[in-house]
Amino acid sequence: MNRFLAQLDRRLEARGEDIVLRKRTQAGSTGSFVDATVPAIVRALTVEQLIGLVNQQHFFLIISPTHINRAQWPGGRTPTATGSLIDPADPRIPTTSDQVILRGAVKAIERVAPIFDAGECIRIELSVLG
Amino acid sequence: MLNPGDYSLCDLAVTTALNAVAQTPIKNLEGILAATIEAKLSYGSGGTSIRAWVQVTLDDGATWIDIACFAFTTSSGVKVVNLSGLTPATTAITPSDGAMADNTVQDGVLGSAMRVKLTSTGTYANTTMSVKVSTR
Repeated sequence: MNRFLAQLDRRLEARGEDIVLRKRTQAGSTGSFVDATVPAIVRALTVEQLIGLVNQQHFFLIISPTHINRAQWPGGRTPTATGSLIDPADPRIPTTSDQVILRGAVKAIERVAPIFDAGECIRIELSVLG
Repeated sequence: MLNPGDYSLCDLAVTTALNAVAQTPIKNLEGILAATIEAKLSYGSGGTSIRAWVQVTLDDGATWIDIACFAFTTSSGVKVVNLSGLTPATTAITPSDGAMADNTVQDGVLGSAMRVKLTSTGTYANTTMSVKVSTR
């Protein structure tokens, strides 16, 4: 395992705060969702980060792909027609269509930044609003 | 078992007809003893029929074996079955892949990976199909 990922996993196990990743499948008025509870490092934004349209309702989260893989989130999906080592549509990486439940509140994902090292996803950074 | 827990085998908005579309499998279920499976159709409009076969593999995905078939038509519904890996099957069964009869199960056959294969007829609108499994 990549040492940066191992470091993050240790920190999340020791100090992480549980959040819920939620992928919704919506078809008109009907819908369903798949949840996974994963630990996250949760940070409110600092004064320096509160610029432009960014406000104090934003939270910055760091999660590990290890916990997503362990939960096998979001479960069975229709496979993409083309495969690649790093699939841009990899369902394990949250998208801005997904939601986060943080401290009891549903929050929208505004930005997703998977970070790779040596070809391996070592952490996923999320900006959430709500 | 290695990874007991609740997993989603399928969570899909159904529109145009599906012809034996296999979803990606849930893996690493070695040592599974039982599975409680719930299939839920949230119906909107249109369509004719939809079937979800829950399948397992005993050979790392080379072949898939039906263990349950959930059939729905044009109304919302929830169906649940519970299967045990400890039920003796002393008479050899002939496995099927996407051919098990509607609303039947094959008890006693559980493997280390599980998936759903979907077939639908007609064009559904505002309809979602989800299949969840609780393994232990």
